[in-house]
Amino acid sequence: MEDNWNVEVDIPDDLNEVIRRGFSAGQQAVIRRKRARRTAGRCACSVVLAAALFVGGINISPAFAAAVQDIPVIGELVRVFGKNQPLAQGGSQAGEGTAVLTMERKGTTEQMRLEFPGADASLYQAEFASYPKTVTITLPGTGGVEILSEISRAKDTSQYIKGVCRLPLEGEAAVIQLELESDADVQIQEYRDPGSLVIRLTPAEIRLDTVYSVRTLSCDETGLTEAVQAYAGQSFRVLRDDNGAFFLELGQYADRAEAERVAAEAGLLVEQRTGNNVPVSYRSMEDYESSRFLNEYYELLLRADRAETVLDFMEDHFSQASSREQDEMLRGLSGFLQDQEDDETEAVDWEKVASFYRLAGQPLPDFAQQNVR
Amino acid sequence: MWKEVIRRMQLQKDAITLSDADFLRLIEEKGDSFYRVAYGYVRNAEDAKDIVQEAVCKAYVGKARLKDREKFYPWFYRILTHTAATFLRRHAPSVVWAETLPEAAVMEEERWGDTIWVQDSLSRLEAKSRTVIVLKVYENMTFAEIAQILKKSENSVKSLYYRGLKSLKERMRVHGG
Repeated sequence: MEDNWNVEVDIPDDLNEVIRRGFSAGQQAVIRRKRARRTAGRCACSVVLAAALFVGGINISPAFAAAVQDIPVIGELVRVFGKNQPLAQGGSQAGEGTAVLTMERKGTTEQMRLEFPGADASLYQAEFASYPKTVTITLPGTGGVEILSEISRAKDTSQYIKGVCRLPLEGEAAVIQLELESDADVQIQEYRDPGSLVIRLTPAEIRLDTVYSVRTLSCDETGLTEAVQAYAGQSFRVLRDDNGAFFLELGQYADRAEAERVAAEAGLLVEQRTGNNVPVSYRSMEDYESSRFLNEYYELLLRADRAETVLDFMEDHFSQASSREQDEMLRGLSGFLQDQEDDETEAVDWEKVASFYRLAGQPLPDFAQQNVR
Repeated sequence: MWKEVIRRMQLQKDAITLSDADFLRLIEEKGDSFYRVAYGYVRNAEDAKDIVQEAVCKAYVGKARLKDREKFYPWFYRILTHTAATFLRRHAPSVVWAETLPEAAVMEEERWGDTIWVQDSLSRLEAKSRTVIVLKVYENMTFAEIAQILKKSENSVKSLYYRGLKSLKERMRVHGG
């Protein structure tokens, strides 16, 4: 039987006013939050606008143009391709011998000059693609290894080139890929006397769009050859992942569902990437599933406004997770709980929190320790 | 299974938020009760009013998080008791509790005396026991209601309650109560 108490407490006359004041303060707080979010949004837009003005300024302002003028190039201009044009093709003959690469910088402009032995540029095809930004240059018959060593040297001093590699593709052509920083715009120019290809890199606006890449598992050189044969006749891009392994990207989609549908039909994977992020290495389906699982968890952490939601998710999955996944989940949980520390609208189940650390054999962090009795 | 969790969350996010008018009406309907609970923590009218005001403000800001209107009151009492507990932490609770005794705290069913004097020791109880005792003593809530507020089982609430009372009783003995 429950105890009954009878404690008299005088209710103040102005209690309704007190409640109304709290209500009004809440309304003001909500307005302030919305305003702060809008301001943050505007700040982000301003950064993009400033970057756009800078890039645009090169084209429209004579003073600006003088400040970032072209680096003079020896030879006769044959072709100029548009900025970031997806495909640039030219040259007049199959290449022979070794091309020499030089690099020059003036202000924020960099130029990579690929000089061929003949009076005309050797046949070339340059493909530009984004997310991540790459320029893939195919040079039929040209001695690729020598070019690679030259370019490799160039990348150490370049502010735009993140990496260079020769793609191990079978055939007569040397295929070089430049991995660019996200703030690089690319323009390709072809010259004769002497024959050369100039890759001009200038500042670009940083974009942080999210794409859903339909791709294969990661593989080594042998695996890449097999993959290229398997997808011959289809349009793809060879990319390197964060482990230096290769894979084929067969498409990019802005819509996740569309990417999932295409991938399911073709037996491929979907990787979500933002901006110029280096692709993730998926050596096996287990790697892939694990990465997807953790991505969903991270999204949950971003969206959840209650610890209970995160703990429920962990209760369902933690015990079956690998030790690496458990480690990641605990890191995420720890960050989430510390973010929520000031939120007094929720009583966190600290015993449950502690149980996950126990299960993973990890010590309970200090901030949680004080809440567990 | 985790996909189901994500889906469920999305559905919750899409749920309709409580209107301002409904929110205010629900709060005002139980304003007296909220005040008594706040008073139970701080034993001071002005502080209790501050706590109620702050809790109403917090609840308004967080009302989009409330997915089930049926749970409005347990949810609000949770905010209120957290706000009160934080207030005590910030304002030297032992001093507040030692100032006065809840003279009117009368246990109608005899358990260990006709009247208990909830001394400053109440402030030394673990937070959850204190919440249970305040809700019980000042609002006469049932264990089931308190369990809903604290999101614990009824048995856990009973355990917290009797543990709290036992601790109070022992302290009273020590202090010659």
